[in-house]
Amino acid sequence: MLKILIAADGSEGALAAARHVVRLAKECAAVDVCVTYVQEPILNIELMLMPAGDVFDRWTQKSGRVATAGACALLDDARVPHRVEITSGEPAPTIIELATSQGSDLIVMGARGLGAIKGLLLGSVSMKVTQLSLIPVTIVK
Amino acid sequence: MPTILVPFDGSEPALRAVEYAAKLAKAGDNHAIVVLNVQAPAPSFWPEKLVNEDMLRAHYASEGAKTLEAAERRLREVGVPFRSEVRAGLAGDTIAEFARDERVDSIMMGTRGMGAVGSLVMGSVAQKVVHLTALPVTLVK
Repeated sequence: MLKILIAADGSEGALAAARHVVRLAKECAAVDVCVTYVQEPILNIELMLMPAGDVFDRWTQKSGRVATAGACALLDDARVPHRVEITSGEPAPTIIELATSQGSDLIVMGARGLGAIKGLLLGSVSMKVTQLSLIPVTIVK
Repeated sequence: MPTILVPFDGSEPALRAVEYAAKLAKAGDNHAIVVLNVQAPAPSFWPEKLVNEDMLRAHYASEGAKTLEAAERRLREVGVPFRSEVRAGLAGDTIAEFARDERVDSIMMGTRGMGAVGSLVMGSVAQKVVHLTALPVTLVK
């Protein structure tokens, strides 16, 4: 069983990552796929100004559903079963934490996410994940 | 048959990349592995009478074969089909070129190889490969 974690953020790179996992799922007999989205934290002052305590959490869930929708649709089309995990925190370390706690064999992510400049070799999150992760990371373009 | 290219320079991360590729090949069906050692080109100041093309080629082949032994041993232990290749040239460019010419499906390599400084984020070779290829690149610590 190959346990794969896809780091998604709604970018083209995340879709490419999902496509790669679809290929892997076809090549390997058994895969376990988790699509994750990590919402970056907002400033404390913003949190304090929020009308209800759970606004940030609801917002995180909502943006997570939007951000993972494309990747999930590709996996659905290819009938690759998958889970979705949405959480908040500093993206790179949180992605690695999730992968580690789930016992993932592989993290798959796009070379660049939503925030990156086009000419850049690797986006800052992809760069940090490849830097910090003890789990192999596949960078997909 | 999906082919995985594993550039191998004899470093620890490269050996872990070999192990990882072997694991994936075992999990999948019909994966083929190509281990590639790239020899740094010899300095060109030798007079041609002393060192000719054939001698160089033989030198690259024997040095490369020596380096690849560790990878081959491991792949034989796991029992996955593979083939070995040696090329001479600039590592990053040669790996990307080989991947394109031989139409491999993905590349798996160490995040840092022999040449890298310990504190470096990503070795220069891995960076170059990620930059030059359109294929998925899996980086292994």
